[in-house]
Amino acid sequence: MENEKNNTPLLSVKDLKVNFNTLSGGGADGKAAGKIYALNGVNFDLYHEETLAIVGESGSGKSQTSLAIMGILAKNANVGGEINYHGKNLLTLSSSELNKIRGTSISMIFQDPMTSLNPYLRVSTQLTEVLTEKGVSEADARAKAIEILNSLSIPKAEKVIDNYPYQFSGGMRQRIMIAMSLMSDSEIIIADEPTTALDVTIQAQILDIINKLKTSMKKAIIFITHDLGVVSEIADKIAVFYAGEIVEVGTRDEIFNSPKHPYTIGLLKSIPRLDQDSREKLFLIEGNPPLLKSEPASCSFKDRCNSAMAICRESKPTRQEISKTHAFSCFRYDNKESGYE
Amino acid sequence: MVSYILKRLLIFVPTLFIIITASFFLMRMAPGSPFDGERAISEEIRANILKSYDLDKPMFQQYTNYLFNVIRGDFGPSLKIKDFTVSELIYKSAPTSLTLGFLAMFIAVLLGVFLGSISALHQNSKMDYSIMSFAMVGIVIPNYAIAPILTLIFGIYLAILPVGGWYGVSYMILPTIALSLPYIAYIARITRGSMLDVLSTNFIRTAYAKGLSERKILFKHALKPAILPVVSYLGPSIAGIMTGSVVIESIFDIPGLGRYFIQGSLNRDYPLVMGLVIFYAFIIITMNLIVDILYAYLDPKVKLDK
Amino acid sequence: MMFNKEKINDLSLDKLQISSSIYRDALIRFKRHKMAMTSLLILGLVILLAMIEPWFSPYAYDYVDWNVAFPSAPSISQGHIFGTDSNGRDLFVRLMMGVRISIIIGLLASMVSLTIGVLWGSISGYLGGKTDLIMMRIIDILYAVPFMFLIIILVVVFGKNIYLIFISIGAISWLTMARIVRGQTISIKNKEYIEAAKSYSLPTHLIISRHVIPNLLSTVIIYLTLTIPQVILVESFISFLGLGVQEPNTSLGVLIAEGSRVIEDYPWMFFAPFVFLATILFCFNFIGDGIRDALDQTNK
Repeated sequence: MENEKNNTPLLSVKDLKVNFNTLSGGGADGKAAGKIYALNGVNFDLYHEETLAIVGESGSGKSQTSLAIMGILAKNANVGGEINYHGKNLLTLSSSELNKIRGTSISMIFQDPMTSLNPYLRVSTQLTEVLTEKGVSEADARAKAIEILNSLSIPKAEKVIDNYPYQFSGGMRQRIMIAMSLMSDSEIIIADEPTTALDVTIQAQILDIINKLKTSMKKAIIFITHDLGVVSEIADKIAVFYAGEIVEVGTRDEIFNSPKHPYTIGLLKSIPRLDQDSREKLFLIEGNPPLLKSEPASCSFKDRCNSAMAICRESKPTRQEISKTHAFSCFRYDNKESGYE
Repeated sequence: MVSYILKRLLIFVPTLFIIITASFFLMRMAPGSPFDGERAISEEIRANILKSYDLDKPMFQQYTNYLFNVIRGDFGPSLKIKDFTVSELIYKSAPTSLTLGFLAMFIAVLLGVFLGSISALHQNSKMDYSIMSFAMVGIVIPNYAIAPILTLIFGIYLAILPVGGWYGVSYMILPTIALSLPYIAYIARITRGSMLDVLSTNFIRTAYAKGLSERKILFKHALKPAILPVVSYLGPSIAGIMTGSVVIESIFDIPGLGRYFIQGSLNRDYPLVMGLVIFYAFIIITMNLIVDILYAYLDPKVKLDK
Repeated sequence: MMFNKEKINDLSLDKLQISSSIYRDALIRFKRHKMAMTSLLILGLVILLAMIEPWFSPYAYDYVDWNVAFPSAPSISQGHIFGTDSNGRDLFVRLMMGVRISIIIGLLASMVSLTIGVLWGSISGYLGGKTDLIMMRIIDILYAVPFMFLIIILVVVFGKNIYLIFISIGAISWLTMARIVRGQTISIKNKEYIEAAKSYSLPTHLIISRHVIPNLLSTVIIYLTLTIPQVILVESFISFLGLGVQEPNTSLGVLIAEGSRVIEDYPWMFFAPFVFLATILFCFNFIGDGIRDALDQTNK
């Protein structure tokens, strides 16, 4: 694995911040304008042929991260920080410059295959336009689309390619979404909860396909999910998101075998296991993630943390690196005596 | 799609049948003879007239005769306009009314979709607010109240357009604008709403993620779903334009069906009014059928299903 | 049966209390809606003015003032603040009459359409099955009928009678109301409190009248605010054609029609009724917007 490619990150996200202007602050009076802080300084690197899993609850900012990379955040979003890709900061590119990258070098698979395909256009149109937009002939694009659909084991691809999305099942539609992301040999594929909307058996098939993208197609993948269990097979690296920040990041082994942040520990405990006594109650992290109306000045997890201390309410934990790959943000380990096991 | 069209046709025929039947019996229920107004008619002439209108036959036979005649396109002679059959009057004036109606429809869709899309793309801008205020006025104020103002401004103060008659393109401008105004407004509003909905859908987000240009996303991905609600609105708007045309024709003194309709209604010229109502209904229902087919063509679910 | 009568009553009482607080919240929101409140105020003033006009006005609606020109321009010194019409009658008095008639027709015809629409829609939606199919197919067919023409036929046949006008307008403008109510009924039908009422074997007509119709209220109110101005428009349209309200009575549609014919020479005869009609219609629209916003938020 140690080749030169692996020393420079393919995609490097630095201090990414996203907040949204809101018209209604959500209060009863309805009109108080405010901001919602979705991402509060996110840092991570993605290397060639690496699969990075981004794990977190809904609202933790994991999807906003992917939308920021693709440059498709909602219109009321303010973005800060850097997303560096081949020496360019994606956040500073114009939409026409960005259009040379998205769909071509970075592709995205969306969460809900039911609504993410245009119901009014044939699947063939939606697949080929990725390439025809870049000047490839219609016939070549079509041939490639059929080839990819075949490789994703969609039966009778050359026939069904001209169907409309509603004529496919959920699992098939997700395969079509994946095919779309493969049309132009992208280096990076972002999969935003690609299995969430699907049945369990279909989930396994889709995971299998994504695993293939990683092993045989050598893609760099960002896999976004709320379920640590899903990524235990395919992730090389895991970043745990909480309230718009990465609270812990490490290799798969580091996260699964020696988690440090109480939130990561809680997430791991809440994965159902086969060897578990079924009468035993599944672990549950009490409460909900906060909706941030200002940038957090203290630990965002303090209210749900079993081992919160006074300092957690006063200041914000800084990032501590315990190996080249493993880092977390928590006060628990500052005093060695109060060690956490 | 075939069975969808068949289903529509299944409504088409009974609707027309009901309209013919209902208008026939309503007219026959009318109190007093239609000839009450004409005093100096000798018994002999009267009997002749009654005969030519089948009034001497039993009601049911009158009805079946009328139905049969209508199917052949014969609505009988006019009571008040001498020497003309209703069919002749319709044949003579229909092209004018239909031209006006289609022009208005065309302008309404073109301008409405254009303005609505502009509004949606510049949501909450000054442009959006001005277009929507214009739409509000167009929807709230009836066109027969706006038409006289248009006449006053363009026909009299500025004196750049003729305000009455139907002799050429310049004569068509004011009536077409007046007739289409509320529909431009409605269609603009509908388009704005649906365009905003469409632009916030996941599949538009997918299109952006694919790196398509803004123009392509708008025309290829967004426009079709955004105009579907407009297409469903075309049905009611055709009926509205046909009815509205009656008033607009009278305001601008256009020799169309509307003039006979108003005359006939005021004079109780029963055959004329019935003939016109049936003709209007036929046009409206046919147009609705065409709109339904168009909708089915645009919506893949209807096109391929059922 | 585990259910007893009290329990059912409790259920409906709960529902009632919840909904009354919903309407209280909606009222508060409505009061904050500036356009709607202003419109309500203006509309109230216009209606009040129209209602009390006969008490203070020196002229009757058909009084011909032979002392002034036919028609004469607005003039305070002559005692005709909006001038007179082509027959020398005071235009202000006639305007007020027009407003009264337009508003009354708007309200009455809307009530007729409301009654038919709510009954038809709730019965069709609640019973479902074949009944629903037939009732909705009837609506489909009626939808295809060009209504303005039907009203005109009715007017031609039965004469130009003001009562007939509002009944016929009301009787044919219930279709959309019925469709909306049906949709709403179907969603209400599957709620728990209906299940509860059913398990207690409450007769269908009581379920509809006690449980379904009260819960349709907000939908019906919202649609009603759309119907009233529409009906006013239909009336003025018919009157504009000369088939509606007849001399010496008048309505805003008649006045606008008269004015439009002489707009070049006697603009006040057109613009006075125009301003009143526009004001009334705008007010109804903004009030409708306000009600919709107020009630819609509750649904969220």
